[in-house]
Amino acid sequence: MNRILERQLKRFIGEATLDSMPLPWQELLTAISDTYTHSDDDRSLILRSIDIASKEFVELNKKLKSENEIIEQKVQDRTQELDYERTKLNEIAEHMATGAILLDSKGVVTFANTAAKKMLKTSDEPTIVRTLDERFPAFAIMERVKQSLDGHSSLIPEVEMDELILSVSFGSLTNESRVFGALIWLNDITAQKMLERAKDQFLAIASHEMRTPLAIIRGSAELLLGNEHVHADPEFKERVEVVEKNAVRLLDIVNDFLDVQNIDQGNIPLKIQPVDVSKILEETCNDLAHLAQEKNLFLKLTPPASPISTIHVDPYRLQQIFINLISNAVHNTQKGGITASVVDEGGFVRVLIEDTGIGISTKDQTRLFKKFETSNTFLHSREYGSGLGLYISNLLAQRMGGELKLEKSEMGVGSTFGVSFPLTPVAPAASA
Amino acid sequence: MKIEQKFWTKETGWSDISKEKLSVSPQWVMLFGGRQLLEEGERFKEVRAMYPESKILSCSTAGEILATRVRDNSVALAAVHFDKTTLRFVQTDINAYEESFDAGARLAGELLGDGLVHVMVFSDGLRVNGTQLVKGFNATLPPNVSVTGGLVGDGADFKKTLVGLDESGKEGKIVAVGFYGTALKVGYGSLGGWDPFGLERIITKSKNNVLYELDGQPALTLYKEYLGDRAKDLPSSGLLFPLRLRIENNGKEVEVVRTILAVSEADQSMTFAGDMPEGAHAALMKANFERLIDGASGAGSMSIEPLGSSPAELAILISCVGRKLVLKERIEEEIEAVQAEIGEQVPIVGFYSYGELCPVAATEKQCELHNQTMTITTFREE
Repeated sequence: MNRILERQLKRFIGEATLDSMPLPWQELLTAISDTYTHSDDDRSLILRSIDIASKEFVELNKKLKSENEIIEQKVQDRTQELDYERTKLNEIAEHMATGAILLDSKGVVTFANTAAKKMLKTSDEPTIVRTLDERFPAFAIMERVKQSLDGHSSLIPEVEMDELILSVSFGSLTNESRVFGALIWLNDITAQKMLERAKDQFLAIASHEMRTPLAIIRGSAELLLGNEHVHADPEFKERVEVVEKNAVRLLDIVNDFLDVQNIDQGNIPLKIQPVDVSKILEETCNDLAHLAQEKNLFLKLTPPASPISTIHVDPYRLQQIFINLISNAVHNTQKGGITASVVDEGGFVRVLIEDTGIGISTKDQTRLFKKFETSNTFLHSREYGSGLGLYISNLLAQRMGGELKLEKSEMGVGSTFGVSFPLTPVAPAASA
Repeated sequence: MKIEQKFWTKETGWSDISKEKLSVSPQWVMLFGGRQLLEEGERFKEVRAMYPESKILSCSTAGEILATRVRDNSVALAAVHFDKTTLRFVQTDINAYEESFDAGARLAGELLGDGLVHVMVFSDGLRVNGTQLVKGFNATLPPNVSVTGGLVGDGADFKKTLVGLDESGKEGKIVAVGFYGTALKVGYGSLGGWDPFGLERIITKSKNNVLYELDGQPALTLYKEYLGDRAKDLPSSGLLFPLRLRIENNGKEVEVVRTILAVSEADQSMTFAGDMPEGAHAALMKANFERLIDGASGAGSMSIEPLGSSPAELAILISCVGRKLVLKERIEEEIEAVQAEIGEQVPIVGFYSYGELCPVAATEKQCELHNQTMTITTFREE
């Protein structure tokens, strides 16, 4: 019998044993005893479970505190590391010659280094971009910042500011492809530009000064070659021919230099008129056929599959581009030959000059259309041209609304250059 | 609808509790009894003789409910004649948990037909994954057909459970009853009343309804620690601490209660009546007597809501064995609470189970597996 019930029975009805009671009372008291016992068992089970749960909570609490201490220490260490990194980056940014301006995702300036403030002659960081925008309204600075915050970069290659010449680039600050700010770099390119200008000026003057004497030498050599006494002496004739040939080459180089100077300064007048591209390409191929024959190369013109639309360009300058491309192709091809073709692409006419030559390396392809940048493999001979042919052709194509590009090239297989012009007349572009 | 109720005990034999005897042959006789009694088969023969033309459903139980009395090792019987409703009975066998979904879908498919309004399922309690069984029914039945029922019991032994249709009952059997007709109104409600306590743990290893680890530790070790001396009574003592699971279901977080069916010392696993998905958050639950009684009362209230102002003509109660193990001498209080809620005159029959099947709310039709609940299905013909 349950001990509590046993005590209660003893207290209220004395020492009577269960066996001595009538049967219904025995059954009732047994049921009550079972209820007491079950209640005790339930209570102890609940107390046990609460006790275990409490211990689990205590353990968890200890673990959490310990983990919290570790986390706090880690946060402290990381904060110190970040402070150090920030200081280091600040020092680097402050001592950089390049101006740097950082903006947050709302376009608010959060940092501008000393170089940037010096270049823009301001000490007011928050308004530094506004200052830039007001100085150069034509370059839509604020719009470029907005584009950077949308993930699009842009570049102003050259802008003059008082005595400085700057290039300004706009980029995005990203983290796992999420844009969280914009960055403006200001590069002082004054020295570089001044040097370029001095070089251009020197070349222009030198070229100009050399052209007349060279023309005289060429003319004199040509006169001599017409003289019968010269013809009578083969050795003398050969020497005069060398003089004439090199005078022509030098004159070409000098003319290239002057062309570059003129194009750079926008001084080349263009006589824009309707032009039949096929005809000019055919004439050029005929004119240069002897160059290919001298090297046992073929130079063929693929007839167009359909009539080619008329474009509006300067025919003289267009031929200059074709001459340059075909001459280069002949020069760089040792066997096989050159195929010229023209296609009407609906809205555009494209001329392709394909050779089976030495090809252009990937590294050289990036420098192909830059001034005085010739590659080691392409135009490698010092006896050939000024290295300005592609630069001039590219500028001429652009000024006439067209585009010159290397379509494809593979080392040892050959290269294909393409120049395309829109059918719609385009006003001559200003020089860059 | 006309109903006749009887019970059988070793001491008294058959006793009628109905005021009047049935004047017509009932379509359906429910015979809920102790497993050993059903195995003997004598009671079934007697019932067959009493109702020669009726479909007799036999279920072993973890306690028989008749009116407001709860008995063990007895037989509770309710013979029901529906005036305007047609009933169809189908059955299938099941041998492994993996067959549960197909079994549910198969039974539901056989019951599909014009006028089907409700299905009651009585399933083996130890060989079935209840979650998958109800999924099988839900996937096959139209959305306007509701399902209730339960996984039958075997006292607190968890050895074998029996279900039979026109026989005394066999292991691995599921019987489903389909109710057809517009005159039948069906109500249902299911509530628990258990409280989660202690730390919430994550299920880190499980397969279907077999649980291996919580927070990387063997789940069986945790249960043994909490049960102390009572660990020797596993799996039945495990019912004292059901698990509350928080799981993702169709993008929503839902809470379900899971209770133990079996334990394995060999691989330290615990088999539950329904799925125990990895990643679910699990908390032990403890009983609160008053809340258990309130839960039963609440289930009663839910079950009569769809019937409107008219009282139910029959209430089938399926309550979890875990409640019986906790409430012990007070077990009849939960039946009395239900009776008080649904009306003193409503005939009650039912049993203590290893799992309950019912939609989560009176307005829902999609059936769910429940554990540790009082689940009530009420009927009335109009």
